[in-house]
Amino acid sequence: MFKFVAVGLFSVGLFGVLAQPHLVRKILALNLASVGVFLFMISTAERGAAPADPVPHAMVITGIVVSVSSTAFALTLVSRVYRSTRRIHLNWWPSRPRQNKPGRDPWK
Amino acid sequence: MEIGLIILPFFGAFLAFLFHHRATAISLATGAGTVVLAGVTVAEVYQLGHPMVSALGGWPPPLGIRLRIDGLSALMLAMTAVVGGAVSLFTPGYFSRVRTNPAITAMFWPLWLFVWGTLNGLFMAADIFTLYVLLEIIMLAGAALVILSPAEFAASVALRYLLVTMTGSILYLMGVAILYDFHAVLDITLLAEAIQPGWGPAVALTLMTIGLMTKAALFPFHFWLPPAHALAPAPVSAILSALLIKGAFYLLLRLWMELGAGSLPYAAGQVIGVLAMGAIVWGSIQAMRQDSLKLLIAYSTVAQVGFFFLAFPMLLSAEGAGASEGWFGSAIQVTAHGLAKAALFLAAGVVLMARGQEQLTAMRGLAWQLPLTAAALALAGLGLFGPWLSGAGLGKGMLAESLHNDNQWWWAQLVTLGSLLTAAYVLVMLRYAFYPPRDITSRTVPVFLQIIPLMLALGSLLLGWLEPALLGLLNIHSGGQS
Repeated sequence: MFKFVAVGLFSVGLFGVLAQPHLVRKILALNLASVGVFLFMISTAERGAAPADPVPHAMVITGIVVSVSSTAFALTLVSRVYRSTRRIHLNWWPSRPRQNKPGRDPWK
Repeated sequence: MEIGLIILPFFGAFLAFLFHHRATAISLATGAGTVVLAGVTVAEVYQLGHPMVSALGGWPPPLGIRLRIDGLSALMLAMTAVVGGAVSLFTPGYFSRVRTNPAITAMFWPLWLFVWGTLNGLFMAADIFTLYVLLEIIMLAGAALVILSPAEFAASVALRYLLVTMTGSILYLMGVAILYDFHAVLDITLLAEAIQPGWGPAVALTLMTIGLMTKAALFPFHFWLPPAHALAPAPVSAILSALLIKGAFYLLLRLWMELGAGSLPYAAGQVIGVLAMGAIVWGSIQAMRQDSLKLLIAYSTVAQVGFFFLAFPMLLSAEGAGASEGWFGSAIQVTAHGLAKAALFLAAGVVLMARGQEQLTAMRGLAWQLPLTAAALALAGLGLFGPWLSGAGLGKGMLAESLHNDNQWWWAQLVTLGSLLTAAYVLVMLRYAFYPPRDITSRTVPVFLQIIPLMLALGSLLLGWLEPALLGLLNIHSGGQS
């Protein structure tokens, strides 16, 4: 039961990453997908009548830490993108790095 | 001893972050120590003749985490040490000439040392969840390195890279969860013993494969790579292109070698072969069309990644004939590419220092004014093409031979075609270098900075001479058949 919900969350999250152009929504979708993975992991701790397996707990806690820090970093980057381009989504195809005009020192 | 390969760079990174006025000195000392440790570890594995296994803190698996260094790990550690050492020596001179902002240098060193330590860990860890955590650190540090670029849109490029690799990480993590659900172990060696053919491991490995393919930038997941690698400062590009994508590739190769044969259908390897073909053809054609030196080199990475993945169709073949030789070829090629690509990006950095721009036209007269750098670019290009006795030549030869032995001759033809395409874009890259240097203002660049890429390029070319040592090293793996 938990596993079905987990796979559902994971799929919705993945779909969101691919389908949503809005950057914050993409990050939220990634979080949703990782919550799905964590739910799946924690549901593997149950092994019949035996006491719960501690390893998935350790994995989920580590995973949450990783997820929080990468979300924070991604949000920082989003705000930087917004400040520099005034847009909150990326072009589908990356813009080519602008060519430096000949004779001009790009670092000065 | 081998744990020092992870702890020392991390410790150095913290020190370099805390004492950022002394960051360069601290980091160079740390780098020297790491290179020595890597050399000692590789020599130890070579002497030992079998994989070196150690349980961290004395805890055995399944609860504890093991480090396992076999021949492939040792080769990757050695490549990382050589490229990392060269990049570390190159960087102080580069930043003092190209950038005046000391904050950038201060941020570069801790991030780079984190990447170095994490890569070392990635090549040694034998636990699929630990590998996930290491992949995440590499991803965060890599994206942070990309935004060291002064360009305005660096944040967009870094964010695209971050989103793609975050998605890849989550796919990988789901694979880990499914594998754990089915087999209740995380150690790769134990998993290889426990794994049963079935839909569960097949789904898990498929998810992990897709996730790692996005990180290794295999076509069609390569789209984030060229802007990120072209935009970053030259030493960062060298790190990203020569080392970072190799981490994900190494992990994928490891997973397929240990777990793939029992649980994935033969067709999966053929699918990867088709993607590799796409990477070689598309990457090479795009490389020829670029007019910026670093973009051309970045697209050449896309193409070369295709070559690495040509070993994958063999890993699942029913006969298994020549399978080990096949990945040997791939591993040697990864090493040769690491050296050559670092040489190319560092040489591109020299061009930028001398000319202030990175257009191909800025290379006009390079052969007269900066002959060492022109030689480095040409030799590194040759190192990618892979003539007889060079590292890439040895790797491609072994790859093609074992593809033939494995009755998959169609991929072997691709090796030849890909080499010709490589030669084509290398010549396109060099075409302006031999123009006479009229009306060109060029700043002088110290010989020391020009020698580093030249040495890396020569290393890539001369790697083929080490064939017996390389094969001896690669023969040290868990299967032990030699």
